[in-house]
Amino acid sequence: MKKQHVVSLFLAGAMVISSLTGCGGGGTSSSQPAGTSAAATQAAGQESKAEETKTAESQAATPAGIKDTLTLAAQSEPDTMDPCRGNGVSNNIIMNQVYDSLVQRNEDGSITPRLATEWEQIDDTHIRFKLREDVVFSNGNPFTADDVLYSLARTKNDSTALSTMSWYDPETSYAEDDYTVVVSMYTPYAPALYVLAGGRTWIGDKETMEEMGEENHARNPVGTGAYVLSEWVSGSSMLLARNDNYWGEPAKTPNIRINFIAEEANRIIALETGEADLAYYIDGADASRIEAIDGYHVERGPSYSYYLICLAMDNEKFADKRVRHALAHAIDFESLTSAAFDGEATTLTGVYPYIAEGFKEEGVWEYNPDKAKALLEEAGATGLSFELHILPGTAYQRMAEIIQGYWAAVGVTVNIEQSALATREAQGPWDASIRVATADEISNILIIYEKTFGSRLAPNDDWLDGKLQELKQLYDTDERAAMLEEIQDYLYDLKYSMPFAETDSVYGVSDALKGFTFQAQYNRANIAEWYIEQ
Amino acid sequence: MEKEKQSTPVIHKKKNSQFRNILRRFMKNQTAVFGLVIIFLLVIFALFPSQLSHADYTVQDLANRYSGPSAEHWLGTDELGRDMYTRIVWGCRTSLTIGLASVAIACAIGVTLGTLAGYFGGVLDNVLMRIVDILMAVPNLLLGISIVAALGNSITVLVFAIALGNIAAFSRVTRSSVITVRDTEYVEAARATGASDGRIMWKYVLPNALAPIIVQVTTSLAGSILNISGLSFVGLGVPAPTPEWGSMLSNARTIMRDYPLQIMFPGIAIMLTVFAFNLFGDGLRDALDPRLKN
Amino acid sequence: MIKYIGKRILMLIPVLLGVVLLVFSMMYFSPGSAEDYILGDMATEEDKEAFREENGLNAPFIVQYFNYVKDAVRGDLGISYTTKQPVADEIFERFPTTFKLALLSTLWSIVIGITIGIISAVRQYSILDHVTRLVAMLGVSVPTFWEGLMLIILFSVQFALLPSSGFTTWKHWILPSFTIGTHSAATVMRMMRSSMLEAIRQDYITTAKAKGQTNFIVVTKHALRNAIIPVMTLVGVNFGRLLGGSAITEIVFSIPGLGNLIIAGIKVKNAPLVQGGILVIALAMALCNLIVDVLYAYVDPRIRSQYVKPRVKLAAAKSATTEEK
Repeated sequence: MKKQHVVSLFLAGAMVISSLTGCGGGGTSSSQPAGTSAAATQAAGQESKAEETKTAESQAATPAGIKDTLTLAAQSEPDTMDPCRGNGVSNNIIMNQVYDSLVQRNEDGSITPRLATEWEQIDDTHIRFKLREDVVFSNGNPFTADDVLYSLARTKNDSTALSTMSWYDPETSYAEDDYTVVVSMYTPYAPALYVLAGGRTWIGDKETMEEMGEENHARNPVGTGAYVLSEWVSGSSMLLARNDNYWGEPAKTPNIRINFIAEEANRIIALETGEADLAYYIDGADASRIEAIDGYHVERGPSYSYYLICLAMDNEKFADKRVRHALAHAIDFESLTSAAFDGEATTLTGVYPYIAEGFKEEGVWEYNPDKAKALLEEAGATGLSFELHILPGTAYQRMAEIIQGYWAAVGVTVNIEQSALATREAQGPWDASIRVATADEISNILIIYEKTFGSRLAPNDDWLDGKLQELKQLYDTDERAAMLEEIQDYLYDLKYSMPFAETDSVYGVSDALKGFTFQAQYNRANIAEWYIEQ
Repeated sequence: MEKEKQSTPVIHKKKNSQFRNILRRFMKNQTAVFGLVIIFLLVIFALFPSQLSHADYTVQDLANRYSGPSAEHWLGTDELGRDMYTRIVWGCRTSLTIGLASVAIACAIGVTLGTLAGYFGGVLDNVLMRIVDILMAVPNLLLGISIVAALGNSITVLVFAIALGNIAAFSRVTRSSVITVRDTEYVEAARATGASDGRIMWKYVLPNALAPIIVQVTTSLAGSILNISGLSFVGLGVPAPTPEWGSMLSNARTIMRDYPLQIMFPGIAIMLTVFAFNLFGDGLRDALDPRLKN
Repeated sequence: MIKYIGKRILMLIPVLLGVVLLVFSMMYFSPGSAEDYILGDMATEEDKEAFREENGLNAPFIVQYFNYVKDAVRGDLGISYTTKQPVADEIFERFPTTFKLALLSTLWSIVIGITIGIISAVRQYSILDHVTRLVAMLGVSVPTFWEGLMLIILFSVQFALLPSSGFTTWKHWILPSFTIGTHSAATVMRMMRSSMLEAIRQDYITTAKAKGQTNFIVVTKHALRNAIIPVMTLVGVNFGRLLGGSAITEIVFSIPGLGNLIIAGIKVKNAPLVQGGILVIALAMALCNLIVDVLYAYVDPRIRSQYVKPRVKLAAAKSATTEEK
């Protein structure tokens, strides 16, 4: 144990001393522990030579007057660039630039071509995709139907993505020719195109991945997207360079640097000091601060994220509907939303965000503490006491304390438990919890009510589960709308979940930034079209 | 440092005059006395929070959030419209309780380990000190975070997590003082009279190690209060709605630029408390350090 | 000397094994499981079982522990659950950053601590003594994150002098290292002061003064030379502590150091990363202490003869160290 570590440590020390700029070698740099010299680290940090020359080319091709590097302040670092593991916004912000998906999902929910030029629904369980024939990966390998089947099969087998791809049948999906793929499903699945629009279904190169090994490829990705990853400084930043082999309109800005700044206050300061041209994940409450910065403004709009109180469905304490209704009557949802988000969030008037498919306006549940007390008494639940679980973070804590105050006013005692997901979560379902949900496709939004999902709600409602399964297999839009209405009415009355606040997606943007269009999901941002004229 | 420790042991009989000497030296040190006064006030606040402020620190007034100091709310209100003064006063109780409890536990365990190791020496010393080395080798904050993350953030867990990080310091301090007295003629004499090891340790050895231990208590208290705020910063502090300065500070940091008072008051409270314990400890250290006489 | 160093290295082995055991059991016995977080809400029971099987999580505790130690000896610290990269790679990618931060912070603490320490010793009980000591003491009495945030507001926002996050240029390092440096400065100051006071009262100083040398020369030439040895020991031990204790400052300033990495790992129960990270920190600290001890013994002839019991001195120095809070 000793020797190797001693050596490594001293080498590490030597590295620091010999390199003034700090050597956050990216990518593979440290696969030979601690490198041999600072120079080696930095060379490795630049990634493969091919990409390096490409960067140089793209710089040469930049029309004069466009800022060479845009700097973006993002919240957290992606954990991987493996195309099948695009779980989470931070991963997908980058992957959306490096990789392509078969189809593209737009702001209005419509699906448009991306790697597939056209597609047809052969029957309820088969879709035929025609692929672009002019696409090469950033390392020059051609893109073919094999890559699609390979990538989707990987997603299917990846444990983090299994449920999203439960419908996908890799055995009977096949390539008709190099540029035609037939995707086969076990059962009809209405959101199939949505799932194929990126996220977990980015398309990687079969040949490269098999050559490099999956783990290596996950740090040094090769995709067909508008940018290539040219440098990855672990924990700090990523540098994207324009992909000159890109099949579509070339990216406007030659290089994009994404800095990972976890603290929101620091992302704002990065704008104030001019360190960044754009910042993601701004709290609504700080919008005015950004507007006050010379040369910056805020771009905001409704998002798919909303906060909800979950009561465990299998918990005896909440079995009586009157108790649930009473708990809801005890809360002034408008004041809660306003106080928890400093007036910068919208009170939900339905069971999910209004920009999602088939939203029905249900109204805000009446705030009536007297009625709440009466209902609790009627149900024989006076002196009710349970635990409310929240995740780390001051925002959650504030919500929980307000809710605790409201419930205390009607005689319900609540203990707030705050812990990270991984730790106490698995001890079993919590009595109640506050969660945020961010899905943008309706079956994904409602997945928290599915029995197999095993969420904080501990769903056990057969009727609801049946409806949700049915919805997934329903292609007809009118029938879907009707069923969604039915589900929403049911959920609104069921009150195991109390969605209360929708938050905006807020970007802090430099006034000079051109080509920006607002996207409700940060990861769908059209970075390739952004540029600053000088 | 080494010499300092060796010269602190005090012969038991002379304790009274020695004590008076130390007290005189301590009282001469104005800053240390100032620290003691603050500590005294803090203890009063911690003992009688409901008499000195409102009895209920959870009363919310959502319409009246972030208000500035006024006759009704001396220090204004927080992000939920709760009275800041009340929460600061109650927070004193929380911080001192966690600090004292964890230091008490650490002190009890650490002193026991240190005394045993120092007194018996040999294999026992080696084994016990390796255990202490292990605790010492893991940074306090990381140790605390791992424990709280694993067991959930109740006050009990916090106390335990912070105590664990303090044990090593106590056992080292105790051990080195014990070593310097264990072979003195005075202890030899006690042994010759047939006193048991336990009695010798309790009656003769430990009292002589007391001074550095007391200094360590003040240092650890100051450190523990800062440690709690560190845990709060990473979101693993005292569970809501119990008022605690560290979490108040941590909660306010997102809005600190709009409402700087929100971060000012709990910040000052922490600073003053830690400062007082540091001053007190420092004065005590000086008073106990014979090199600094005259 | 060699024998002494060899013995010290041998003594490290049980400590490191113990550290691993401590962290390992904390990760193992704490409720909640990695697969729940890493696989997410969508995962089925079979997925979880597959994950456990793949990561050897079904074996009994003691087997897992010994497997871990066996691999660690070969330099293999396992695979990070979240990134799927070797933990050793991740750690050594971050280590230089933390090392550099600790180094710069130590410089600050030396500059501030020694200056104030000397001043307040030479002018004992003067106004200057009181004021400088109080200021140093105040610096160590605020939570680091509070100090860091204040410095950012002051120097990044108000005066627009220094960047607030990142670690690419020398300017980036000023605020974070200063934040940590002021915290360890107080202990250095305290030690410098008392050690200096002792030195000043020695006979040869009185002699030197009597010979008509200026106060400045006496202090710098004679007293300081003797007084500085224990201070440097403390600085060395402090440096070791900073290698593991700067996590919060790293978070405040978005510096991708080891502490930052480990805290992120703890939150998602990324056991291999946390175990590996803490092991490396413990090792680094231990080596640091070892170097300090060896140098100390080398510099001070009085100590050189005391090899037999080197622990007392170390203990004394350690008890005086602080760690970032």
